[in-house]
Amino acid sequence: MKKILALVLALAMVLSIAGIATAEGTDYSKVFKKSINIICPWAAGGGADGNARLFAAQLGEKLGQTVTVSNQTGGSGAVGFSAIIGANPNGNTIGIITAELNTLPPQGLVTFTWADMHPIIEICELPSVVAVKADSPFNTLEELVAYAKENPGKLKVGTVGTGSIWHICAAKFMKAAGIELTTVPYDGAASAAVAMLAGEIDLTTTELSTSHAYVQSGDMRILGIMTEERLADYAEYPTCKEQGYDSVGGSFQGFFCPKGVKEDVKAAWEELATEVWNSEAYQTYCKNAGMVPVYRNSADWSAWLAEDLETVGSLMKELGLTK
Amino acid sequence: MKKTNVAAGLIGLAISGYVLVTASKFPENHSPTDPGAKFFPMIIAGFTAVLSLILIVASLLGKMKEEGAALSLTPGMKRGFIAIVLFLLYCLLFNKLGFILDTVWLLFAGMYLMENRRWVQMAIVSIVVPVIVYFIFAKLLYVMLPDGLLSFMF
Amino acid sequence: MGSASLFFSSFAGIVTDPKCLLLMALATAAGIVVGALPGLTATMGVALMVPFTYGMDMRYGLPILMCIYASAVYGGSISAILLNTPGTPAAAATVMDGYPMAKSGKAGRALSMSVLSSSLGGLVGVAIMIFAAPAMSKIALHFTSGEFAVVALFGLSVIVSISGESLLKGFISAGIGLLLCTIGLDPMDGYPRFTFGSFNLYGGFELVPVLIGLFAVSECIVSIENHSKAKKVSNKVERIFSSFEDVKLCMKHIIKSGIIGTFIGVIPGAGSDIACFVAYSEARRSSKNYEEFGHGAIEGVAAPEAANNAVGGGAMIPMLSLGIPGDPVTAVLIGALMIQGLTPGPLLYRDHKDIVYLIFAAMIIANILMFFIASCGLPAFTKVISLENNVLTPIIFVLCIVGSFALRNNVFDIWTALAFGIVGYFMQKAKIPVSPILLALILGPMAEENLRRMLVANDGSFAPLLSPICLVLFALSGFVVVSSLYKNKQTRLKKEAAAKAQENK
Repeated sequence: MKKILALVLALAMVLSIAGIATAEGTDYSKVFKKSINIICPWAAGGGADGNARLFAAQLGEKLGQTVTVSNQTGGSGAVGFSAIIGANPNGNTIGIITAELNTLPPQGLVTFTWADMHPIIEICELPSVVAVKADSPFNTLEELVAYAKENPGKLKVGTVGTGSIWHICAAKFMKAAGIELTTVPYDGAASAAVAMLAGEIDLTTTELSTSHAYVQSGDMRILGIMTEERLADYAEYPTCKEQGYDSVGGSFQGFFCPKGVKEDVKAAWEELATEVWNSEAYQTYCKNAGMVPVYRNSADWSAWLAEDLETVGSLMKELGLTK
Repeated sequence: MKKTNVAAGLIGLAISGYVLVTASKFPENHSPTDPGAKFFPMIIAGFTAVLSLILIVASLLGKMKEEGAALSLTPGMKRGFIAIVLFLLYCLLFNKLGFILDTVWLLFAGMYLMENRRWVQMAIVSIVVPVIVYFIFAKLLYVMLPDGLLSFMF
Repeated sequence: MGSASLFFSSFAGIVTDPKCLLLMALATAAGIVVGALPGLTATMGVALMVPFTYGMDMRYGLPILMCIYASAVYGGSISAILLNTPGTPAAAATVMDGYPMAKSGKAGRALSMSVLSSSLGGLVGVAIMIFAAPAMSKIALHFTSGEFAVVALFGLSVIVSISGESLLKGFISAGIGLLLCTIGLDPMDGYPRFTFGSFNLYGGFELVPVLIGLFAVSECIVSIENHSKAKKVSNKVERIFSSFEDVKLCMKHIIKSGIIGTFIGVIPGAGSDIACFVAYSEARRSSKNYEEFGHGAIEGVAAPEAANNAVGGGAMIPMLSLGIPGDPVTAVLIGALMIQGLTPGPLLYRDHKDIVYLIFAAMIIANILMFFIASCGLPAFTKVISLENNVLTPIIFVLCIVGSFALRNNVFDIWTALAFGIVGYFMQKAKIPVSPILLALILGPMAEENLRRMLVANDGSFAPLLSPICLVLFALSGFVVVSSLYKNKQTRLKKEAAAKAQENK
């Protein structure tokens, strides 16, 4: 009896998958019959918004549906995140998230966490870099660290917003190097960069793309990038890790959907999003925008997010930012 | 009227007072060089409190040349208050009824309140305007106006 | 290719391409409508248009965006003049004299002057941008937190000019505004201030719904209240272009305001919403008819309109050379360029000079195109307003709600608009001026954030406030305050003298 049941179940599963799979590939039009909406917690024109729109365009082509991006900003991303959590679980609404999803909860600024919705895939990372002015007295991380050790608190590091992912990156670096720096928050990577060029601060730990542009124009020097290994497209930047300072950090982006979405729809989304991630259009766009395309599927990413939340949480405790 | 100026001053005083009390409880920043979250609000609140006090005193002493409008309950002001109530109701029902339905009754009620009795004109405007606005903003520009009770249509 | 010839070829490229011109004309018309609708702002107009340009060639996409930018900023003046409601924050200063002009039947003159000032101001901005960009971008690099704080202070000093009759009430209004802007996450340590547990308030109140509420919704309530008393003043447009006398009177203000607007645009973060007030204040200070300001002086329309369009040219300078947005619209433009694979910043001039010149050429043509299209549209605008109030007012209210909502698809914003509408209504009753709250909301965060950041970055020292730029700005602020007070006094004396003369008759 059991064997027959198992056979029937297996047959049912195969048939249902076949139902939405055709010879060329999966036919998503059976799963997604209405127009799709991607919620973006950040303003139009920004990095997350750009990624969302690119995905929207690609998804639209694949599905033959209208895919729109709605920007629901505010609360450092909180408004958008909670909109995704509370969205209609019919599978037609997904959202793009950023690292703030893990930096807001430990500060007590929101009551939800990543686990209140379902991760689809991670699409990219924005690694943090330690950058100084081109005419700075520090040519390597070692020199910087040595100076900082002798003069605790004297060097000023620019970040973007207190309690933000870039502040966390600065904290990670300080911890790994065993130094004390004074953090000065700005409202954007570009503002921090300009402030450093104007001489107000000594270094920044913001995103790669901003600092890279200034290195190319000859105004800045990148002393270390906070990744595990050197990046293929930016091979000239040594990692902090290889110089002896194990700090890896940066922002990340990916897609989520509400928890209540049906399992097969969730699976379809994971497949669909992976296809778009693999497309040349996305890979080119991502790299041109100065981001690093990174892929983690739903299961891997869940594990990674859980670990990250803990790390960030304990770092924030040390920084005294938790409530 | 003097009363309006004094009332305005009292409100200013109340707001400043509230801020002063609440802000004084804000935590200090870890950074020793930063005056902290309480600094700015408290200074401004103090400044506004003083000015509000001056306004109250000057009005009572009859020295204010700039008088406020009279606060009597004219039919106009009654209309104004009804308008405010209508607007409040509109916002409360915005998500439940959806943009189109909510706007239809508001336009009708608003025109009626302003003594419009041209029924045909009112009916046409109340229905045509929300529909056009909805299609331009929600369908053309992708603004997520709520569908409310009409969600079955879209 | 030499720069001059490259520039001319970009220019010619647009002018000789009928498809491009047609698209630009459509974009201009759309931009005017977007700007005129209270609730839709220039930033929103550009942001909504950017996705449509993704699939387009940059040769069409960029000029379209420039056209929307320029015409939306101008468009705000239409509703400012005709409806006492600025269509965009940039037109907030235009209501002060624009609406009184409309009430006395001079709307046509005001509208014509607005078109002229906007176009000329925009051209001034572009001219400075083209010739002085490299030099001015170096200036931006000297602005540290201390300088920004003093810029905010300078902006706030303009409050003295726009407080109308009662300085005391103006300051109270500004004080309330400054208190309101502390709502949200503290900029330095992230502590939630006065947020009452709602993360919708983490960023404070959104500026646009507040503006819509204070100016437009309150005006709707007033209009409902005053319904039967209001006499509909006939506002027929006799002539499309401004008269020679008007132009002669306003020209020096236009040029000066254009320069002011450009400089304010260069300062990262400071945009047309501040520029319009500074230009207004300066026009009042230097005009022979200063007592008319606030009651229908045409210079009070020309100055802010010239300045707010000039900001566009100025804001492009830090955007193109450093990758920092000079104002909110350029922030969106940066995104538009990045999607196309062009990163604004030090590399843009080096690697993509053709794009830079395309932007220059497009802005010039946009301003010229706007002048003609807007002028032709003038009779149409006044026609729309001739609708009966009891139909127009409810419709305007609905547009206000839609506009407030459209910003970030958040119902919280419509409540913000309504709340501030009620506040604005009662402020009008108490004759407390509303513009100071607006200025305070825009400049307050800039002042507080930068002052505190300066202290942290300099170990608690106030020394950066003594830099040359700061000292100049302090001096300018002092000058503005003193001369405004002086003019206020003169106005009061003139009024008393006139009143006495009436008595003695």
